Amino acid sequence: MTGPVPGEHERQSVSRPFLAALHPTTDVTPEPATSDEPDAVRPYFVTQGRVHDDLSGFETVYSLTPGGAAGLDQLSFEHRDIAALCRQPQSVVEISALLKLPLGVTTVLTRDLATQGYLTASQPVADPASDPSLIMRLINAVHAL
Amino acid sequence: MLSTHSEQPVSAPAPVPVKIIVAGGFGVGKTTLVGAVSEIPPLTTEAAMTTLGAGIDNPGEVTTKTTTTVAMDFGRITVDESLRLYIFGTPGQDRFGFMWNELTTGALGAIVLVDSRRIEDSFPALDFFENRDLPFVVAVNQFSGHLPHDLGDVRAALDVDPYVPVIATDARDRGAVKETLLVLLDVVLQRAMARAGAR
Ligand SMILES: Nc1nc2c(ncn2[C@@H]2O[C@H](COP(=O)(O)OP(=O)(O)O)[C@@H](O)[C@H]2O)c(=O)[nH]1
Ligand SMILES: [Mg+2]
Repeated sequence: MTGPVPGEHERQSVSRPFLAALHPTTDVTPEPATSDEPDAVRPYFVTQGRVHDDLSGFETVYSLTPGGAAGLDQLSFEHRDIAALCRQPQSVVEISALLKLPLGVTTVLTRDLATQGYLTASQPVADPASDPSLIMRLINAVHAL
Repeated sequence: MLSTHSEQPVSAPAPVPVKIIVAGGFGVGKTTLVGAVSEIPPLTTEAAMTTLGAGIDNPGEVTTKTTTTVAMDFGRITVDESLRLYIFGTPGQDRFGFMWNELTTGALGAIVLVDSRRIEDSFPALDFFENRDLPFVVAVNQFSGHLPHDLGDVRAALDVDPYVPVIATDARDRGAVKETLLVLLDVVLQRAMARAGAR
């Protein structure tokens, strides 16, 4: 188990995802930012106050879908930055590091974008440690470094 | 849902990630080791964690709420277009324990990096991986080019199981880090083959 299944993070079904992304339908007070984290206000606001404490699957790799590429300019800034970065497949941790967003916030936003069809997620490997051929591919790749 | 038009090409599936953990005390060389083999300069991500602490005046009563920031360094090796290896460097202190579940879930194995002058810094990581039954190797980082302790002494001090490799490495040297990864992957492979055979 290494990642979320797209769609697992269900939001209420909306027919106009672009508008929903632009104008959150639920009115949630953002989490108060801690003083030593100046960047926290905006990210927590864009997640509508949802703080993710399930960080599992932070290595899940996302890539931009063709439909997502066509609909990029309809996204809010934070979502668009993430989606645009995923033109090259990126893991949640890479997105978090490159955009300087906390990992929990990045986890929420990438799952949203996958639910809305902008991003597609890598399929988690059920049990890589029990897969000799996968491990052989790794060994060969490390040899070739 | 974003509407998709039938004439649009289906995007290539995102590559599958697998991960290896590098754990050890502060300053032992984790980030250096990751950087020695990563195809990208090591990146850092931060997770803000809110922890509840017991009050000082009324022990047992939860009164304090502290936000801790946990930093993780990581690098990446592309295996092929459908597989990527991520290597995560994580501090081994007990207070980061809550992050270790996420870190180790689905991980192939771990490298416990040891500074032979501060062997005890690696104890929390060793305890954790042993309890998790996650395959690991102990790699003694060769600060200043020589090993102050015999590897046998380190093994005795760490009291690890006989089948756990205890090897010397040099976190700055790509060849040495490659070798360290290969020793770990060999342990991982042996275990996978034993499991496949047992099925
Ligand atoms: N002399 C020497 N210095 C090293 C070695 N490995 C790491 N360092 C240095 O030790 C310091 C801490 O290393 P770093 O990788 O940041 O440690 P981390 O805290 O475990 O990530 C850095 O200044 C490194 O350049 C080594 O094998 N020999
Ligand atoms: Mg470091």
